[in-house]
Amino acid sequence: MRTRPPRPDRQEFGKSPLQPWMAARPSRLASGEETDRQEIGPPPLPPWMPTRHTLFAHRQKAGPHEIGHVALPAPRTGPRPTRGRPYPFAAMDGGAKREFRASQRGPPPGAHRPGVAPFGGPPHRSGVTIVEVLMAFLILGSLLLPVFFALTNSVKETERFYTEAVAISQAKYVMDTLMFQIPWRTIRSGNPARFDDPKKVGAVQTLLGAAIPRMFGSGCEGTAAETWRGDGLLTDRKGFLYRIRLQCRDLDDLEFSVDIPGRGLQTFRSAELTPKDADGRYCLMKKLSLEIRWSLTKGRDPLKDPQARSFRLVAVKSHLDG
Amino acid sequence: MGRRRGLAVVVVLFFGFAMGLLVYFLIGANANLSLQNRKTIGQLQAYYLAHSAFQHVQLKLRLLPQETYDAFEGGAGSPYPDVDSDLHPAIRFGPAAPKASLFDSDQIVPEDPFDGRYQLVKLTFDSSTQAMKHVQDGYSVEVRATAKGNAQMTFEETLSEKVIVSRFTGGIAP
Repeated sequence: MRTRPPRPDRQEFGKSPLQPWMAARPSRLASGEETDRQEIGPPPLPPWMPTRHTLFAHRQKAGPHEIGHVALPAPRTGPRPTRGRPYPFAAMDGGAKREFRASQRGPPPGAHRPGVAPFGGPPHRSGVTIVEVLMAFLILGSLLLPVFFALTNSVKETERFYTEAVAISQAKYVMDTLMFQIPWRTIRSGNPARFDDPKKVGAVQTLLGAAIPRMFGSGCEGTAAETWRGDGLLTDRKGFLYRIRLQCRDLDDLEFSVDIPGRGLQTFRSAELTPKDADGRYCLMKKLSLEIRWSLTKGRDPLKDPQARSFRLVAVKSHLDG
Repeated sequence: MGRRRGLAVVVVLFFGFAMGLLVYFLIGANANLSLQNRKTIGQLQAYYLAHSAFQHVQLKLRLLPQETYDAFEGGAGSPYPDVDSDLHPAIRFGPAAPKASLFDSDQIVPEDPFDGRYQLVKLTFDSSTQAMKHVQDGYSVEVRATAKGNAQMTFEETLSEKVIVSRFTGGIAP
């Protein structure tokens, strides 16, 4: 039975012509079959041992870029290596060199051929290029931009609607109080209107002292005691400022008619129906005009804000006091 | 591969459609709120004009109770032909001057911010109570007011009330 001798270490391969396994082999030199000159080179390998050419034969097929192999130089056979360039490269003229370099450069960036992956990867593998990613971001951004714009605008609009709602609510409160609770005689003509009771009734003055600051806010105190002005500044919970002003105009010299069958249209002037009021006028109706103005900037006085918003309400209050 | 690319188009279209829908509803909701506030102001204006008309009628009932009773006793259909804001230059609402502001000066601003009108629609004599020294007449009052706000919107308010008036003193109990 034939036994295989131990395999030599690769690093020691070919360094020493006298390996132990070789010593065990009968030397043809010793037997006188070959001359000394013939013994200088490496001894012939056993038939099962791969030669250097057969050991790295696969590298010739896969190419030097393949990962996982040590790039050992291929056996130098034939003409001298030219790193892929035609030999002799230096002897080529300029046009031929440019043509050769253009052929080696490959397709331009972004020109991806279907079925061939960029960067020399394995073929038939799909992917996205940086241009495609950028395009996707561009499309996404163009879609999301109006959404973000609308959201930002919506937040601003919400604050605008909040201030409008506060202004409407306050205006309604003031007009309701003026039309149905404040005695007619205490609302005096002017812009802004004045509030005081000509009869100096204690309960009425207490009512005015409680109601007027709540209606008009700060700055509505009159010059004299127990008097108020229909003009003030209010601040809501979020810090927006509102200016409120009331104008009162006496509607004197009005006529009141009654159509009585048999007597015709009976017309009466104010002077025939009521005595003079505290201002010395025959007045039975007053035209009230309320304006509220507010700023959309927190803490800013609406009178100093050119972008301030406002609206007015108008009503006529009749003399219905007992 | 071909099927995947078709799916990408559908996904992109669906995403774009969803974003567009979101923006549309956001803008629509804001526009609705803005319009709603303007309507509220207009409706509020009509409401106070209607109450102005009602107080006008109450004032006449208070000042002229006997004359009013006599008119109905004589068979009058509408004894108050002048309860109409357009018939009194001092009361008339308009023409609209929305730019006029009370804050511009401390002088009286005669202009009104809108066009409006109130009028008496119906005044009927319901009943009369004569007990002891008290003589009270009951009336039904219906008034209507219109206010023209911004953007050519017209707001209307109708008010119906019953009023009891002392025929000799003019005291009113709504």
